[in-house]
Amino acid sequence: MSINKEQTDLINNYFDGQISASEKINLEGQLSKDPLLKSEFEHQQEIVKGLQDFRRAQLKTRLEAIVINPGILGFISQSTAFKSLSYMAAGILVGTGIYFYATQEEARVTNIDQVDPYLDYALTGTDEIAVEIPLAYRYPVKANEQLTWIEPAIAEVQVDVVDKFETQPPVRSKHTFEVPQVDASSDDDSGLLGDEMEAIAPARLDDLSDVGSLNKMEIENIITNKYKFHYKLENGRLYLYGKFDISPYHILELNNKSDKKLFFQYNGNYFRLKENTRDITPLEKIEDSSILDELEIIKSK
Amino acid sequence: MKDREILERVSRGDEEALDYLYKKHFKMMTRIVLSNNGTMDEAKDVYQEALLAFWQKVMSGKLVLTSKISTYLYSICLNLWRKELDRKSRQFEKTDDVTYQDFEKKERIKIINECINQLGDACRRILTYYYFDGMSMSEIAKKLNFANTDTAKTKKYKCKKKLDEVVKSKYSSDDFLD
Repeated sequence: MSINKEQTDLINNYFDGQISASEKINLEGQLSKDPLLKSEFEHQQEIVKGLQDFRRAQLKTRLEAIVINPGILGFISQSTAFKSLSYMAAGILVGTGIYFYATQEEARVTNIDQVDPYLDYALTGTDEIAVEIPLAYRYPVKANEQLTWIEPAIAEVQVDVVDKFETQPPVRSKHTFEVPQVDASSDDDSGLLGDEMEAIAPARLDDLSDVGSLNKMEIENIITNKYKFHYKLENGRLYLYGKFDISPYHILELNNKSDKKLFFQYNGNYFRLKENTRDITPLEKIEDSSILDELEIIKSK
Repeated sequence: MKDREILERVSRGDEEALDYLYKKHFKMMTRIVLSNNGTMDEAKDVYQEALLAFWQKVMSGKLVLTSKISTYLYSICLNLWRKELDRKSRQFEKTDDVTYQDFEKKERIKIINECINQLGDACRRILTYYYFDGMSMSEIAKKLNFANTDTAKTKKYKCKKKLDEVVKSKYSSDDFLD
């Protein structure tokens, strides 16, 4: 059974898109019954598809030949190699961070272990200021030397325990100092002396009717390594810690109706002395220029 | 070039308009695939297929565009890539059985392609413009400078017949069986 011209035209019209609905149904009916017709139909189908694929490939080749420059960054970022590298770099960064974090903690622990045990108290978090302890108390001991405890004779050794870490006992010198007093005669304590004081500041202390007998103050100078420029004023006795041999020093007492003030003048500077300071206190220099001027006036009189 | 001008030029089969579109929207369209587990080659392929689908639609006169060309292309690219991803996911389920029929079909396709290449340029253009681009005979006549539509129609019939004969002769002469 061969294919007639009518069937061939029907198939061609079908693929040309020029077949009517009834012709299409007719063709489909014949295809189901005639294998030869069906084979021809499939053959034509492959040829038409071949033509379509050929044209598709032709246009795609044309488009593929168009050069589009995405830029260096775009090109790099679009490549799979870049993606692999970026994943690898991210992994390395994370690993490095973990490594350094872990070893930092370990290093900190190691560092603590290496800290001088004598400085342990500095790490306890107390409010006290950690002070470096001099190693002078470490008396060199010979290998074969035997240490024996010698009970100190109380009459022979008088130890002033000012600083238990001191290698030498503090040098003390005592003398009595006559403290000139100046009557402030003013309740105005806003300034140091006030304007009234200036008005009645005497040319000589002896001319002041309100001036009583000069108070005598015992001053003890203690030379110690720990305290370089400190004082303690207790029970009318002034303890000066440090070396005060650069220049002479003066002590001024200013009396108001309510209280009295003591000032220490040394090496061109004035320092306020507070009564009954049982603790060894650093000498604080007075910076107020108005106060300093008044003190100079009084000192010069 | 505005969308209207592009559409007009594409409808006339101006392939340079296709080139223009390809370059203009390349980054936007390829980004769809690249940002969804695709390679640049796959992105290019999807975009080119989308452009060709657009080309065919415009050439056939069946396209009614209510949005920008880029929007239309974007939707095609998206659908094509989704289908491709779906196909990839099912690829591992399919058994890799190469049947005799598949082999024979591949051989026939290869023969047809060779025969198309052997056609003259005019025949090849007429047939491809007609069956792929969807050009009418009058458009083909105009594009290829034929005298009239009937001339183009006759030329097309002869070219198709010639191709059929060449392919059939090739089928009968080649022995698929070893």
